[in-house]
Parts: sequence; structure tokens; C-alpha cells
Amino acid sequence: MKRFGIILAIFMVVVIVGCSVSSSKDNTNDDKKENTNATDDQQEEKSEQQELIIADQEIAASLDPVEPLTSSYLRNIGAAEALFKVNAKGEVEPSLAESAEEINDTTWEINLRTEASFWSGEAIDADAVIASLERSKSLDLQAEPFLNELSFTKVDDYTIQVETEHAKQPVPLNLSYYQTVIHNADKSYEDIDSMDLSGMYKVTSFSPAQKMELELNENYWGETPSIPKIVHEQISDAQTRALSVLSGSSDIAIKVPVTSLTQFAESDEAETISAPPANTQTIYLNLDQPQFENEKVRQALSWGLNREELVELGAEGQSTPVTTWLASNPTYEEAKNAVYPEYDPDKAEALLDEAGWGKDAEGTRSKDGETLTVKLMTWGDDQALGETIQNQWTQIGVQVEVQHGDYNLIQTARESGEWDASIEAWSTFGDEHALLTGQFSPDGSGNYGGYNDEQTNQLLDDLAEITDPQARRELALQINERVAEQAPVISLYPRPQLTAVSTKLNGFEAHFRQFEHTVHAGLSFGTE
Amino acid sequence: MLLIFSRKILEALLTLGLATSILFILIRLAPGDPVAIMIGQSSDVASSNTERYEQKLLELRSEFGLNQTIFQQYFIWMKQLILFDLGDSIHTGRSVMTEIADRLPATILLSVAALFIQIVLGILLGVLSALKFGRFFDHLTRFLCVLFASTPGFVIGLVLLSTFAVTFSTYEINTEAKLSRLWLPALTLGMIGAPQWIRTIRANMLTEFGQPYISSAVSRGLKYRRIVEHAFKNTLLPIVTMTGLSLTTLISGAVVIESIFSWPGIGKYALDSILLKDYPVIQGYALLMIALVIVIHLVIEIVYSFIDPRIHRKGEENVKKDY
Repeated sequence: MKRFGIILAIFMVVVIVGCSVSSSKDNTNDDKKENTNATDDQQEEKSEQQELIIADQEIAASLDPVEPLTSSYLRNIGAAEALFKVNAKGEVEPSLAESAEEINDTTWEINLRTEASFWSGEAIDADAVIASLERSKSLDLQAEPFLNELSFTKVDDYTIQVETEHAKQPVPLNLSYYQTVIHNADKSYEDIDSMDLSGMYKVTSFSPAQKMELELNENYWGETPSIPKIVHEQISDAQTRALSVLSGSSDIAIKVPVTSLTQFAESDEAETISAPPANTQTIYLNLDQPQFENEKVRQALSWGLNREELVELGAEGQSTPVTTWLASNPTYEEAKNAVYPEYDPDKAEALLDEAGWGKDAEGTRSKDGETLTVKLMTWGDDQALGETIQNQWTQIGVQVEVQHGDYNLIQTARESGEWDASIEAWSTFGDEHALLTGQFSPDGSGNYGGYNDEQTNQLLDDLAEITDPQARRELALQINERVAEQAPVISLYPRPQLTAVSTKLNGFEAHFRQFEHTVHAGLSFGTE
Repeated sequence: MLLIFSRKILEALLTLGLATSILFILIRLAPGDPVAIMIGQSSDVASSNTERYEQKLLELRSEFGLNQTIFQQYFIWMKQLILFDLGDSIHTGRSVMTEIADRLPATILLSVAALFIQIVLGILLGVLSALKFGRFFDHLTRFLCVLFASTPGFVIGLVLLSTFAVTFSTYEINTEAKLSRLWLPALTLGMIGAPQWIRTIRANMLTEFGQPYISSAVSRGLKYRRIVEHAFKNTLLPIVTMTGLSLTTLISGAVVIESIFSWPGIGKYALDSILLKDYPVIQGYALLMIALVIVIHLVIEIVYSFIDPRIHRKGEENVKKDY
């Protein structure tokens, strides 16, 4: 038994050493831990913190901005910039570009900053910008919706002209997307030494699927950030990301789960910030299924949803209900309750009766011997949402089966056509024509249910031709309302985006596209 | 002896070949297109021009050889394997061999540390529980065993992480595989696996205590400690088996704990790759795990034959009989 005692002693030593080594971390992390009992001295130490640690679900998949899952992350951590950016109100502002002027309906002139340069010191002139945008256009499929109908020519060293295929295309908006970040097209993006971007921070180390470290870009054209170093870490588990901020191991955690709200409410270490995102949680209905042929059934399903309750139970109250698809776009707030202004189960039941789906003694609806059923497919964090919808639709006599699983199952079901309904959230921010066409035109990649309405198609064609901004806006709202009335999709609420931020970090800005707007020059540590 | 090992190695190769073939096919039967996942994930805006998208899908499928039949793909994979090449990840473009080599040490470190904790806890509490049979300590140990065996690993992990990282501030949450971060995931895995050890050792010890040689030793007045040592030595054989099996389970099954503690091991890498349907990575991971299981089982059998020569002799007799 003496041997066991020795083994146990070794084990205890290992544990104690582990704990003690863990406690004696570098100064940066010591600062973080000590923050638990904040005092004036500690506040002073915190203000000297040298690195900002961001815990994220994923980091950039590669170093090349034209590769999938890369440019949004590079932009988010201050490594990459586009010519324009969108502020928190949804307005487009110059970023790497100095200004833009609309010469006529199909031509824009963009002036570049003469003081801007890449990390390497090479100038970001007209040739470099055009080469970058052409490289994105040819290699990045995701850049297609924003660059495909644009052509670029050099006017002088720091001015480029953009020609659009159609009148009134929103060129600055298109060139604000992360897919259009400006990079040195002459360089290789195989390793960190050769990559060449323009952001305020440059990459100093990269471990795929683990960590990316960045330091200040001394050639940066804009305001110099006060934090010298950024660490972007991939912590896949959402709960662990939340704990990392609560423990002081990181300063920002992106996409923390709504279930961790209570922990943050009780913490002095960190808080959660929730900016309504520009996307809409939407139930897509498969219009090839016989039960959805009748518009009244689809409308009944929409009237029969208590969206307030859905937000409460499906999103822990971290969102606001919307009844039309475009309404989560911050510039289209008036569309929030444009159709289906309130929860009305009586109206839903009446519509189902009118459609011939009668209710039996057990409260189930059927027609010609067929029961009214919906198989609702959910994925990710939407299981609770799916079950709440199931409960609400059951009350109006619809039998609902919720299938929660991997997204691939939904994709496969869509390919085979064997699905009734599924939940997804597409971005609603951008050019109205591109957005609405992508969702509701017969060949739109987001039109899963096969919605094909002659009048809507005509309105979409009209939208492409209209140049007056006000008329364009009104028509977009009209299309949005028409689709909501016909209910090929049922809009619920913007998918919540919750960011946890350390209380010692100042200057964090909530943004409706938070995933690409986290790091900026105004961030600092310490008391304000 | 040579015959036994030749036969074992042949069996191992056959198992490896069959298992990898079945996995190769099953992976491809699962829903989801790795290329569609790769090029489709970052888009948050629906587009209306899908022609180029379809074209790109076809190009990439062709580039990764996914447009060929399963048998052709399998043949190509086999050719690569002969050259010790596991192919490149569809998602990152990096060599699967390199990616696995980068991550395997972290998993082995975690697994060995966890195994050590399991063995220490198992032997210590298992023996003590048997010695204190029917008393409070025994009941408490059994209760704790049931508690930890029935609680999901991720729950134990999150509770420990919250306690040590948030409440006591003694654990750092990041993505590095360093010794100062090892103890908590190792302790978690150790606690999850220890009940099995404790119960087995306790049961074996109690069986040994009932053997005539123990009664004889007691009647001859042998010291209590010596009696326990004799009994314990006879429980070693199942412990060898359990060590091997536990190590295999730990290396291949630490996925959840690696994810919770953000430990950059191969389990987390495999999990991410499964979600992305990254075929070359899944195949490489599966091959490695199957090979590992086979090797560990071979080692167990060899160790067995040394610990208990009767097994070795019986094996030889069987082989001779077959020939």
C-alpha cells in the first residue's frame, strides 16, 4: 500500500503543479485574473494590457482572402479592409477609399487615399485596387453577387472608374462587403511572410483552426489603435467561449449562447451585448407539398404563430418579432409588422376551415382523409424554436413533427424534395434587388420552396430597372409585403447575435454585422 | 512463437483493410457534399446566378476526385496509402498527415495523463473499497462511481471548467496544449473513466479474497499487507486489458472533452472535419484509430503471454493444431 501512497502523492503533486503553473501565467493573463477584485491599482495594470484576446467559433480558414471562410475573419480582427464600410446605422461610409461620386446612372468614380499602403509599404493605388478586385472576382465565388456586374478602369494613379451593367447599382455598398477586401494581388498568400493586406493589424502567426496573432501595422494610414496586439482564438464550444470571458481568459467572445445570459447577469467581469442582426429566422415551406398548395393554409400558419413567445422561448428574449422577411434590415424597420400585425389563432383556424381542413373531436385537422401535417426540420440552436412552433401550430390543429439534426440532413432532404418546412436565416442587408431576387425569384438560391409568382417576378424585374431611390424603396417594400401575404416563407425574428465583452474593455461597438466589425482603432483597456 | 505473431499480424492487416473499406464507403453514403459545404458556408446573401456556382462545384469535385466512382476513389486512396500519403484536407488544403502529426501529440499527452489518473484512482479506491467492504467508505465509493458513470462527460467538464476557471481563477482557457492546461481535461477524463476501474478492481479483489490461498495465508499468520499484495497481483491481468482498452477509448473518444477545454488534439480536429464532411481527414483519422486499436490489442496479447505463460502455450497449441 506504500506504493499506492507514493503514486497518490505524485498525482497530487502533478495536480498542484498544474494549478500553480496555470496561475503563474504571463503578465497579461495575470492582469486578467486579478481583475476579479478590481481595485484602483488593478485598474492601472489593466490599462497597460498589451493584447486583446478574441474567442471565436472559428478563425480564418486560410491566409488568402479569396478562399472560403477567410476574408470576414480577417476583416473582423482588423487585418483587412474594403474600399467602403457600413456603419452601425446601416449607412455606407468610405474606408480605404477616400470618396465616391456617382457620375451617371451606370458610372461611379472612386478616389483612393494617397497615404494608404499595404503592410509591405507598397502603395494602394488604382492598379493595386483593380488587380485585387479582379482577383476576387475570378477566384472567390462569394464575391460574385457584388463584383460580377462591375467593371473597373484606372482614371489616374489614385482614381478608378466603375461601370455597372445596370443603372443605379449600389457600387459603394457592393464594395463594402468582406468579399471585396483589398489585398496585394501580386503577393502569395501561402504564408504570413508573403501575405500583404492593408489593415491596422498584420498577422504574425497562424495556427489553422487554433489561433491567429496580429501586431500593429506601423504603416497604417488611419488612426493608430492603442492596443498593440490581437489574438484571435478558435474555441468551438459556445459555452466554453462564454466561460473564457467570464474567467478573464479572453476579452471578447463572439456568438455566446443565449443560455449563458444568467451567468453574465451575475458577473462583474463581463457583459453581453446584443445588436439586432440583419437576418431573419424564416420558415421555408416546400410549395410542392400538397398541404401548402393553398395560400390560405400558409397564411394560417403565419397567423397561428405567437412570435413574442417564439422570441422568448427560442431566443431567450434576445430578439424582436418580425412578420416580413426584409424587416430585420435596419433601414426597413417599418416593415416589421406590415403583415400579420398580431398573433391571431382564431383567424388561423378560420382560414384552415375555409381551405377545407376540418377539425375533428381530438382537435386534429384533416381533408379527404389526409391529416394536416408539417415535418419541420431545424438545425444548430433552433431546436427550442422548432418545438415552440410545434406547440403553437398544434393548437390550431396542425400536426407537427420536429426533426432536429445536422444541416446536411436539410440539404439532402431539399435535394430529394422530401421535406415540408425548414428554418434558416439569410442576410437581409444589401441591394434590395439582389436580396429579394435571391430569395423569391424562381432561380434564387434561397428560394428553397419553389415559389414562382408571376406578379412577384414582374415586380422584381421592375425593381431592377428603377433608378429613383425612393421609388426603389417603395417597390422593395411592396414586393416584401406581397411575399409575406402569399406566405411561401414565414418570417419570425432576427437570429440573435450575442457578444460577450470584458468590462475592462472600452469602445466596443455593437453592430448588426458584428462578425466583421469587432476590432477598430477606438478599442482600449482601463477606465475611461 | 513466430507463427503466432505472423498469424496475428495477418489478422491485423485483414482487420485494417476491411474496417477502412467499410468506413470509406459509409463516409460517402452519409448525407452532405464536402465541396458544397466548403464553398457555400461563408455566403450570407442568397444569389440569383447559380450557374457559376454549379460550374465551380463541378470543378472542385473533379479536382478532389469526387466525380469518380467510389471504387476508383478507393483505389486512388489505397495508392496514396502505399506512399504513406493520406491526401490533402478539402477544407484547409493542408496535408492530412501533417495536420494529424501536429495534433496527435496533444491527444496522446492528454490520454496518457487521463489514463494515469484513472489507474491511480481505480487502484486506490478499488482496493480500499474492497478492504472496507460493506462499510461507509465502500458505500460512498460505489455511490460516487454511479454518479460519475451516469453523468455525461460534457457536464462534468463544464462544471469543472466553470469552477476552476471562473470561480477560482486557476485555469486558463485558450487553445494551447501546454502542461499548465493539461491537468483539468485530464482530471475530467480521469473522473469519467475511473468508475469502471474502481468497480472492476474492487470486484476482482473481493473474488481473490474468497480464494482458498488467501484463507491459507491468513491461517498461516501472514501479514495483512502481504495478503493484500498477493491478492492484488492476481488482479493484474484484467488491469492490463483495461489499460489497453482505456487508452484506445481515450485517444479516440476524447472528442467532447477536447472541444470543451479547447484542447487542440486530434479528436476536436476529427469532429470539425466530420461536420465539414472533409473525406480525406475523416479517412486518415479512421485509419489511424483502427491501426491504433489493432496495435494496442496486439501489445496486450504480447504482454498477456509474458504475464501468464499458460495463454502463450495455449496459443501455440492452437496454431499447431490449425496447421
